[in-house]
Amino acid sequence: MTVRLVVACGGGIFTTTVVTDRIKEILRKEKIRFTITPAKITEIANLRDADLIVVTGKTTTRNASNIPVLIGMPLFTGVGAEEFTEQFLREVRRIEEERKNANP
Amino acid sequence: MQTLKLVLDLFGPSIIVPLVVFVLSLFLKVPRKQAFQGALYMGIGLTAFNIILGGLMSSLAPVVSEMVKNTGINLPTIDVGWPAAAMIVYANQIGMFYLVFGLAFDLVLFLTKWTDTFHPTDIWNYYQFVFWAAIVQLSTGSFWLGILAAMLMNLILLLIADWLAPSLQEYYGYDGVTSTCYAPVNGAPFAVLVKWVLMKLRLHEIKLNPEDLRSRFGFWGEPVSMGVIIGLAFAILAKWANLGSVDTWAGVLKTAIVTGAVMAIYPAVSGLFVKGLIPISQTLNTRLRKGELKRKNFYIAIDPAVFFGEEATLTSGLVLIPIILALSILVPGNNTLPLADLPAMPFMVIGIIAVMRGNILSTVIAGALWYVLGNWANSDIAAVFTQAAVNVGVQIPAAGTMVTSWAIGVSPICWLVYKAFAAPATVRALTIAASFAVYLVVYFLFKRNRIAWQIAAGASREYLDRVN
Repeated sequence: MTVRLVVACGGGIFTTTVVTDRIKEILRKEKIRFTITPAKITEIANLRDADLIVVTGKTTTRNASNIPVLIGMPLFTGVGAEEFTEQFLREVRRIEEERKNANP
Repeated sequence: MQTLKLVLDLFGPSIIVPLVVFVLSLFLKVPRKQAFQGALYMGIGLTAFNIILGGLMSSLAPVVSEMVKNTGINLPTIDVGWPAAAMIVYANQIGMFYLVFGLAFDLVLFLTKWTDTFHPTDIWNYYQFVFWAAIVQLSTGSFWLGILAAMLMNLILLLIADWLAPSLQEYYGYDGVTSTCYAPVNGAPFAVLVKWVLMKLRLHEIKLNPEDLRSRFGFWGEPVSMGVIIGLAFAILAKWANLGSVDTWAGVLKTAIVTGAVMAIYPAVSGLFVKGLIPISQTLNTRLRKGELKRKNFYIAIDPAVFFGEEATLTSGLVLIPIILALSILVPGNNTLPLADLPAMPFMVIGIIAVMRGNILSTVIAGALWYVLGNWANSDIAAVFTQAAVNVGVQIPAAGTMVTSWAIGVSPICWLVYKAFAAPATVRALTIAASFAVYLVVYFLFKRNRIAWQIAAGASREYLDRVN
């Protein structure tokens, strides 16, 4: 079961690259299969075909197809990174579970 | 010295820049593998951008020169985006030199407590003012005048960063950070003045609804469709006289696809480009956060991307895109067609919005005025920008067309410094001395009235009491 992630920031460049690398580390350690696509914050409202969106800075933008949006700033600055990692893994596991149940 | 120059010329920036970055990274204790990968990507990014720019110019330049010839719209300069300025910086020795020299200078300023902002974590954004130093060198022929100009712009930037820090922290809700990226913050002092006027006129009380605006202006947040539409509109204008023929329409549609492609491809390439400096920034950031540095109050410079998604920032940026486009055509004295940097507009208002405490109307008014001034600055340096680009190998296929990086060129503050340093040789010593004197006066006024200034920039007294 592959989890499809989107990482988004302002330009889709600097912070996205940093946060993407961190997420890769986390998920590889947990042996979770995933794909990551970079995006811009202005694009996340209309994204489809993803399971979870991680945004690098604060935003109130929501996704129109109800894909959950997490604020991944802690992975960029390092402040609160552990708490975020826990929350993030919980969310990823929930998605895995959900998709397993959806198509057994 | 002669041999060094030969070696530099022989290998070229795509080899030398990664090498400098690699050595610098190792020196700053970045893990070797990360340092190597990052440096490699930077070289690749430099090369990739050069190739893309070539493709873009060969299709766009003829259309723009036709537009100038056939319509009243005199915008012969194409905005090729900020990566062009970064490329110019790193293809010149001054850019490579300042990575090392500027980092050392910033450490000295920080450790002597001349400033409270720790700048090197934002090393990637040095290029925004070093670009202006590169054109000082180009105009004066002096490497050291360029370095001196870079130092002054660095000092001014840190002054703004110290001044704005509590306002940014409180508004965006991130403690202990500031921004040292010229494009987003250099409009903040101007915004302080505009806010004062708007408060007198009672306009600052008007609140606009961000959600409503976002749905109206959402289109401008989709860079690819925006690129296609702008390309289409300008190509139709350029070929207005021959719209009857199929050939013309083939050309028009191709231009639209090229401008769309620019928007689609830029983030990918510029992503490669920044990879070289990310390990340095991240390693320094981790070491600061771990408390290796014993100091009570300081601000860590952070990439402005973390501010971008905030609702009022995003909304004001999107609203400003069509306004800036219109002003660029309508207000005399501008020669640049904004294009590749337009999607960066929410970045360009970050400092202003913090001063305005999220008031969208005030931000849009201050932003529009500031970037009219910015357009004049950018237009003034378009010729020397183009010269600098040609010097590093960019081909300009149509005579009379020029290039700039809009986001980098629209900085009235850097423009003033540039003018002081590039003044006629007879008065240059005087103008340079005057520019340093102005900086020092503002610096000491700020030091003396720190709290009042930070409140004027938007921070609340409660917040300042809490953090100080």
